[in-house]
Amino acid sequence: MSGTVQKNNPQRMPFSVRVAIFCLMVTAMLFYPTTVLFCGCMLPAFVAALIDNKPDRTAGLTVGAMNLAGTVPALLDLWEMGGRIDHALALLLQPQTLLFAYAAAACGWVIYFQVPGVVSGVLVKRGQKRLVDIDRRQQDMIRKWGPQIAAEAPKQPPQSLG
Amino acid sequence: MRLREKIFRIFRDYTEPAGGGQVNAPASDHYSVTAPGNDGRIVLGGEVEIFPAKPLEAFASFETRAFEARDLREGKPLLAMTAGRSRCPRISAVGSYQAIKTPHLLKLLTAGITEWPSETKQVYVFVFDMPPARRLLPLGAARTVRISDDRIVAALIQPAVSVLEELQSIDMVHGAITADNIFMAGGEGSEVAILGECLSSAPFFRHSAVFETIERAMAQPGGRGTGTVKNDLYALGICVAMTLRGGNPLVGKSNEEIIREKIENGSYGALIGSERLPAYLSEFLRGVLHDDESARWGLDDALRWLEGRRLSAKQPHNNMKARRPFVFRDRKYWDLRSLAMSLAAHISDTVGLIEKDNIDLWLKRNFEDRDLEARLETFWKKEDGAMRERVVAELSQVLDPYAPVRFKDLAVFPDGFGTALADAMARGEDVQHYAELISLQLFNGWVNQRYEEIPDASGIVTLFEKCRNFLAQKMPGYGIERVVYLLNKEIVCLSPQLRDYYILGPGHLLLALERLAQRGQRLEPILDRHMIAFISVRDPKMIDPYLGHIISHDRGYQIIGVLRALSAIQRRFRIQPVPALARILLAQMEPAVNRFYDRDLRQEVARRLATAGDGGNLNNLLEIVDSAAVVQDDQMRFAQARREFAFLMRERAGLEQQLSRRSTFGLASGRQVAMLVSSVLGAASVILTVLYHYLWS
Repeated sequence: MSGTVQKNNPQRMPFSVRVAIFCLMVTAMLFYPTTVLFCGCMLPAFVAALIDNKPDRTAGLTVGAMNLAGTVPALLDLWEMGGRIDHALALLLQPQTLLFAYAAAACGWVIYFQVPGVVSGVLVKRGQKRLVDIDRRQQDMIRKWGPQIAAEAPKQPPQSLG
Repeated sequence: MRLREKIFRIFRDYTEPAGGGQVNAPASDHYSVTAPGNDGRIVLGGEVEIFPAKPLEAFASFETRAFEARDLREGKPLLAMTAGRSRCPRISAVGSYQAIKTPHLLKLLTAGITEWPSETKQVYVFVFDMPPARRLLPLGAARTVRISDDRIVAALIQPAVSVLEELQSIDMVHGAITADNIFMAGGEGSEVAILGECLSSAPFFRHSAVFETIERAMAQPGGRGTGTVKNDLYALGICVAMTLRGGNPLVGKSNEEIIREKIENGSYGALIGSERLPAYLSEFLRGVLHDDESARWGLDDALRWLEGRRLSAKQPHNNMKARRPFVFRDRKYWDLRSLAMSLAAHISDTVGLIEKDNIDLWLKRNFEDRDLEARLETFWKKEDGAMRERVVAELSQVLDPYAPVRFKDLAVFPDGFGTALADAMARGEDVQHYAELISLQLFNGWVNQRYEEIPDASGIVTLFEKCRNFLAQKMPGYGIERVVYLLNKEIVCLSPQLRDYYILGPGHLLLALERLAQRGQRLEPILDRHMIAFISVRDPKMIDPYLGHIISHDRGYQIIGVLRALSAIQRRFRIQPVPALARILLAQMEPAVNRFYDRDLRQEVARRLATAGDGGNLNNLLEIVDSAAVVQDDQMRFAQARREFAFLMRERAGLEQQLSRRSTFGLASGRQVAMLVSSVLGAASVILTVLYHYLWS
């Protein structure tokens, strides 16, 4: 019996990604205090990325972008103070730092929940208008070419009108 | 324009393009039909006037009528003859006939198509010199003009042979040498013959059986074929014999009796009997009346004889005779020709005879002829199970292979088939038997029995095979209509719609259609089967390229095909505008206009057609309704519109489907937008924070 035995190999990560991750890890280790402060402030973004079950998985990025905006002042302060670990912990324990970072993340969540509804409403209106336009155009075409244009229309039209 | 040039132009135009697409009515138009004046006179070609109210019954014969006419320049009386179209007048030979310059042939002055007063129909008229009053055999008389034995050569034979010599030089036969068609000029003792006209009917069509050889007399008048100069000499010999005998010795006898008499005694014996003739005359008559065609004198023999050279005496043709007679229908037959003739005439009795087998026995016992035995053997092999009329036709061919093909009530030679068929069709007779004769391939059998003797035997077989194929095709332009025009070059268009018109070619046909349209006659279809076949055979380029359209079941394509053909004819023959016909075409044009997909274009085309129709130029109509560029552009735009329509349908279906899920519609996009908004805002905040931190703090 001929046939091939397929091994159930997990998809391997590309080499470039692995190198990037390695570099990131090395950088994170080198700038250890910054990494600690960053991870503490960006916690809402990590949570958003983890709990997002939509196929496009955009929650992490949406929240993360705003969260980062709220984290940057703390990071600047850290680098100004000398960038040691005790400074990072001190900043992290200040409520003002976390409040600022998490408030920014909350804005991200607001954007995440409100903007799609607005966009959807706009798209529905636009779709309805397009339906009316299509209807009018088809009526015009039937008047000009006769009903046979509908009867004889090819089932699989080309992708573009050319 | 001289008649000869006119005729030449007609036949040149059949084959050569006139050039140019512009439709102009020529000043001197050979398609013009002469109309009678208010007083009933007809002035033909500006040369002669014809008096339709003054018939000359003495010169009239079946379907050929004669009238007084007058030469307008010299004032001399003339003879006008109108030809019945069923007799297939030899119009293509008019130019050649007029070119003959001999005082012994009735001179043709002019000819042409005229409207005949009181009948409102077109006829073809020949105008000849008025022949002398005396005929060789006056009508209704039993006795011929008296010409002494020593004068007969100079008075009759020499003039007639000189005419035949002239005719042969232009590849023509006379085909109408009969005692009542020979006119005697000059007084007693100085008579000289003038042969009468031969154009008003097909060659040998008007001959009675007495003027024909045995086998040709068996054929029906229209089915004898074109004949040769030998047949003209034979007819001359009969006239000479009648003159020598002082009359027709076979007068009062039926055609069948005349043929039997000739078979029994030979042509010479039947005409001369026991009369003693001078040796030189007897030699001439034995030569030209010989019943074996291969031994019969031709023109060279007759000319040598006239020069005074004596030729070897011809022995009478020996007809094979049986030792014992064969009794058929209470009559005894000793020879095969008479028996074959009788068998062909009595089909039922013959079929009974064949079933009894006694004819086979009689033939084997009485004739020791290998050719006959071979023919019989082939016949018996094919006979089993064949249609009875076919069996009888083939048996009579076997017994007498020189006789015409005799099938049902027909008796025709292959080269006479076209004329016989045209004659029957013009008279409105049933032509089913003609079609059957071709379908049964009886001419093939006739040719095969004498394949070596018949010149162009393979050509005849091929021609009739072609006809058989045409018959098998039922579409317009084919069938028996095509066969008649293919086999007869002289016959006019026999369309029932055109029975009052004399249609020699496509140009005439178009003009006749215009006249019909002017009369308000309903023309639907505009081109019927006869017209299509006629044009297709006479000038294939005018209609064959459009035949597919014309025979289409789609009315739009059909009318476009008709318009294309008529427009081609109008262009090629430079026919004057035909506004009445154009209006009829316009009335039928709706399906053609509806061929366009674009409704706006349809309205535009209909508007332009209505404007162009009044001009009567069919080409203008065609350019509007059948412009290749416009049609192609319309088709391309329609195809594009179809694609667009389909695309819109697909888009609509997609949109409707998406809108039906309104709760989720656009959310994915919205999330993308949210991500974008958040990213932009975040980036902007970061930049501002950094700038604030380093520049302003």
